[in-house]
Amino acid sequence: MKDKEPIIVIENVCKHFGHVRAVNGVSTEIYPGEVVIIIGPSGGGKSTLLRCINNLEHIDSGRIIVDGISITESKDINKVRAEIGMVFQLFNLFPHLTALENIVLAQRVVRKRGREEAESIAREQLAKVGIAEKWESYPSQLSGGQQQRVAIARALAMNPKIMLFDEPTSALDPEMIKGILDVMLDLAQEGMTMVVVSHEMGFARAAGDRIIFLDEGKIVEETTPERLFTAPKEERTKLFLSQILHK
Amino acid sequence: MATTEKPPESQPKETDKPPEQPIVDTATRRRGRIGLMIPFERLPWWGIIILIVGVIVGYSILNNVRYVDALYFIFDLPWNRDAVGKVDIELDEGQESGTWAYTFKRPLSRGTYTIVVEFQDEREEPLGRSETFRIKVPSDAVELEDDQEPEPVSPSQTPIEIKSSTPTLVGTATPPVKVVVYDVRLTEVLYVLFDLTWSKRAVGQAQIGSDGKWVVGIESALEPGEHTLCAEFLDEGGQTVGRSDVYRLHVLDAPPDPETEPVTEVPSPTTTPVEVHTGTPTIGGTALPTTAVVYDNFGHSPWRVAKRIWRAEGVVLTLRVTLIAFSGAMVLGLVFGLMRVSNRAPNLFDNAGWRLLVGLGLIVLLLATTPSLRKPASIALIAAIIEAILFLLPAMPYTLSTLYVEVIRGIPMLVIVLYMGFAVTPTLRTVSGDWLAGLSDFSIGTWAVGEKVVGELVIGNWGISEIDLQGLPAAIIGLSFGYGAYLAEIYRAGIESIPRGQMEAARSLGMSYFHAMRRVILPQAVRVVLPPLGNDFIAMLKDSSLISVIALPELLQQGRLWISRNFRAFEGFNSVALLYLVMTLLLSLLVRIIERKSALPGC
Repeated sequence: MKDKEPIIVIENVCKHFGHVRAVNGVSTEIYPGEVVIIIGPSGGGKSTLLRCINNLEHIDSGRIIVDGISITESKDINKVRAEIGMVFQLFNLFPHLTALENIVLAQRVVRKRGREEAESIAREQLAKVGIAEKWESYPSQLSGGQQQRVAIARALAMNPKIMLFDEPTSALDPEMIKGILDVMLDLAQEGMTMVVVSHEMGFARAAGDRIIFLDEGKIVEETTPERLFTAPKEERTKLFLSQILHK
Repeated sequence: MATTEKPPESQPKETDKPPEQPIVDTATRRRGRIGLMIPFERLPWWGIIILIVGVIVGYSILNNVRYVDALYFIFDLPWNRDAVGKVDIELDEGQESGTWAYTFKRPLSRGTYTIVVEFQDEREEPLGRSETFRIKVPSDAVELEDDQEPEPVSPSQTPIEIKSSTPTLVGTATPPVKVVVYDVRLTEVLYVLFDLTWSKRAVGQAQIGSDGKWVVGIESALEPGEHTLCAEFLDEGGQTVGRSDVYRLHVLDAPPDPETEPVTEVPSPTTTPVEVHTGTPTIGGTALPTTAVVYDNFGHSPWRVAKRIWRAEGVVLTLRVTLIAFSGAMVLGLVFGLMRVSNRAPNLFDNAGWRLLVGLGLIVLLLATTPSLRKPASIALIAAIIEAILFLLPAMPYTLSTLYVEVIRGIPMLVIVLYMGFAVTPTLRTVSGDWLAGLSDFSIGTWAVGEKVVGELVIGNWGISEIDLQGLPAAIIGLSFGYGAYLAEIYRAGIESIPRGQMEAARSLGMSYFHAMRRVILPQAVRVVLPPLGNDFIAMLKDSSLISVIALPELLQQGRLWISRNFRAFEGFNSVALLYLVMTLLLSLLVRIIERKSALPGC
């Protein structure tokens, strides 16, 4: 995998909110087709780092290069963002649009696809995430799991090169989680580059190529999921793992 | 609403239709989407129609019953009394009061009339008034033949004609003098309670005993039905020294009960009109021997007043002003509301060089076209202003919109309207006259091929010699600007009420700020702001009455014109109020329907 050019380069990125240093000098590289899991305690900067990748948070220093384009210097950030799909913890579906329209909107506005084309892609994606029959339901008529499926379909319909997942299962009922993880697993097996903030250990082991443990805005440990869960090197990692596993 | 809410209209072709295409559950969908079902748990839309009808009916009753006229009498207001005719009162020998009779000269049309007779002395000065006569002319009324006797009509409470009980009232009063009992009606009780002057009718009187006890037998029989009686206590000189509690009586048709206990409830008496079967009835009564003048209230039915105002296009103008001004205010509000939410820290130095260049270009253009500005001082001033504006441009939206909202919101609407009408319009006329005259046919430059001039660029005045805002545009602009400030804040609140995640989701999909705002945020925000928007729409309809101060003939102004012609303030303002009420209630209905239609399922 390392023989290819990295698709995301993160160089010494810092981001602070007031006096809080959310991300404090993080550097890493992500290669095409790689699935990177980010774990860490609450407030450790996981989500912030993820949001920095598509410039939802503007970084204070450092450099992020996505697919050869520096997001801080890019003239047209929207073009870069169109290549990066993002799935949110709280789904963030557009409540005034049906599931289908949710998926069609950005395709038409950003990708300039025709209505027919956009709709057929939307149906395809809905079928892929397993809720083809819900195409004309409004988000308020869908369960949390179904909403998250629509959100994933919405991101995938843009044909992104990278997918970012910001705790996609933490707002879901336990019985909904597996379905979403299955969808994500399928996506990983198709070779999608994914950056996932999640504490789902099973998913991390099954799909993750690499796992990053972030605490206080810094990378504490970066290794394969198998090694991290079985033999963590750092004390901080051990403490964290013991706490989430004994929960 | 700028949403793409429609479901895919064209059925997807077989190629792009997944095999598991579901059957559309149209019934459920339609219900959720346009809300054709009437939600009975809320006030349904027809409730508002019933309310409107109720208001109209209530208003008609209000204007038809006698107490609207009574108000003019009681407060001795000038009003336009249509005298239907005059008749002399003949005095029999040895008698203090004479009888009179009057036959209507022209037939009364169908309807209920309230008629009052005024007694005058020889110099036509009013001496007193009769009770009001209430006449109901049924639709089958006929005109009398010449030889037929007109049927006489009496006031509703005359002693002789109506046989009923003569109860006796009992009570206690401190000064042992005299007691007078009056028959009091519904509204008249208010005059008693608040000690207002009014025309009272005594139904009996007696001396108060030394122990303070008084007993008054009602001399003239009360007609069957509800009565509210009140005793007034007088001293030897006939001056009022106090009153008793209010007595409410219900006189039955059955044999009279000699004594009725005092009751202290809120009274609710009724007067029923006497039915006559002719358009020209005769009315009669007893009074001092002078002249009797008969008045009535025809010509002032609420409908005629309202129709008069309607015909004068007062309503049309009010609606037009409101609609145009509110459309303007919505646009202004949206623009300034969007500017208010754009509070991102501006980077003043981005493209600063480019902005400076444009500023310099503008200065050069201005100096080239306006020779009178070519003085060093003016050049410096203009350059400074233009460059400052352009330099601060990135910081402008928030600052400018905040300034607008805070300034306009703090000025009363009446002041804005007066300002537009009496300050801005004349100033604009003068200034624009001078300016356009100075600009007339000003040559910007010529260009030539070799020695030959082939073209000349001239700024003409396009035939406009001055910009004269008529009253109406001035009023509309004033109202638009005034309400734009409120609407800007409403829009801002609506936009800010949408969770941040919505904007983030839209931006993460690669949509620009503009697209995200237009396709994602605003469609949701508009649904949130519909109720306050409707609120301001109705408020503006009412505030459009303010433009009457710059002499625009809208609804209120038409009403006032009618009043000044007819001296009937109550009827005039009642009609104006009614017309406003009908319009505002219909508008609430409209807003409600829009809200219902744009509601999202499950929200």
